[in-house]
Amino acid sequence: MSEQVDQRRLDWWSISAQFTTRAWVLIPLGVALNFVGDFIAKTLRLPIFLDVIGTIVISVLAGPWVGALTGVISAVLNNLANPPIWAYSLAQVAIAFVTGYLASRGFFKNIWKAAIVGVAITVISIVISAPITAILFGGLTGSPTDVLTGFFLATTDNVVNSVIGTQAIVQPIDKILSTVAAFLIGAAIPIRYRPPFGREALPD
Amino acid sequence: MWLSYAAADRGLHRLNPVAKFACLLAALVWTFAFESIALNLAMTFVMVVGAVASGVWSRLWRPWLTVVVPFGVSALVIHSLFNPANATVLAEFAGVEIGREGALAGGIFASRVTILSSSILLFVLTTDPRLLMNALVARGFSTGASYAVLAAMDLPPELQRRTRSIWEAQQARGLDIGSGIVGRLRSFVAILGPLIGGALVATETRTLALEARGFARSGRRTFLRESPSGPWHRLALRAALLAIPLAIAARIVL
Repeated sequence: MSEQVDQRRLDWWSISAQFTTRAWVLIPLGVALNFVGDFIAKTLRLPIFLDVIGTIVISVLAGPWVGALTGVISAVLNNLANPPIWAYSLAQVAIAFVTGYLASRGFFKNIWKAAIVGVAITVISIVISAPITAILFGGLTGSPTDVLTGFFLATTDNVVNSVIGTQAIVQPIDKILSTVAAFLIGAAIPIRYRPPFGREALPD
Repeated sequence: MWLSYAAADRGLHRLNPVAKFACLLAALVWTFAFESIALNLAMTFVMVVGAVASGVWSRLWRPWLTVVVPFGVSALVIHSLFNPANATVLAEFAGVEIGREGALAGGIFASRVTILSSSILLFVLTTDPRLLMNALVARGFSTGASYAVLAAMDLPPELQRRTRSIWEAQQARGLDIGSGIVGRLRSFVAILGPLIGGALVATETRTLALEARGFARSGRRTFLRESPSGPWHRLALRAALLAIPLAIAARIVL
């Protein structure tokens, strides 16, 4: 048993074990999922972004390194529609590593544990993206949530606190729902299509 | 909105893609290193001239404005009114004070996003991604990452088209997308399920095709198309690579 756990820890950190041909082919799918998740959420008028769903799915299926690359490519390509997004590559990388690590520890074996991963992602996402938004872009993102930031700025007199206040309202629902949706997507994928990491991390 | 390379043979299209990429990085570093509205406006002017000379201005200005205007307006309004550094009153309307310091900060953030937007859009419209990736692979960039980037540029529009088809098919079967929030979340899953299923089958086929073509093999690659090269291209590359540490050093010293 302890050997099995050690092997999983190794897989979680091993770059060469994660970057198989199947993993390379899954990266564009993860990037496309990030875009389509956002597109469907907007079209269905859902009050969430769902723009990291692809990063989470790929981190669970192929491991954190592959998920991190998916997140960085998504952020770089998303620049075309929203240039400030590139600065959040670091948040995407952190989301991939938190997801990949917790997946290797069995947190994607059922939906309730997956929701806990959503909470962890929310926290890490706020901790990393709030200072980026505050320092590089004056607390603004060019989205409707800027109104909330303006409100907090008027009441707290501090840009970082204003951004944290805004993100604490917007992020939890989005990230928990994204993680739960990623679990449902991952669990629905037949085992033969999963890379080795995903076979271990997801329920059969 | 999904922008892609606008093939042409003039202006910035003729510049070596790696040199152009270095120029893009230099522009981004400069705009963050120097908090100057004047410098940002000067760089924007150069980029607009570059866009006109390269024949891509007609494709650039619309997406550019959709990014720059909302961000610029919110940056100016929110910082002018609420920036904690506001000490000097620039103007007053109906009891609302507009702060000079906040207006300046808002101007810097707005002009910074203008640089980000114009440089990235200009780069995308004038750079053939396949040529860029070939040039990067020739310089030691991973072939796997090169494949991932190129395929990631092609897949989202394709998946978006497929989403619309699934959407219409599910609506024809009675899917209610106008219901409450829970119903709309169910619709999300109903659309995403078939989408992922189809994409995974394609993934399997692609994996087999790539393996059959020696994707995982290491070694030096040769390319069908080579990037333009010459003394001017090397000069542009070196100047851009020199400008990056200079800006960082100036930021630290000044």
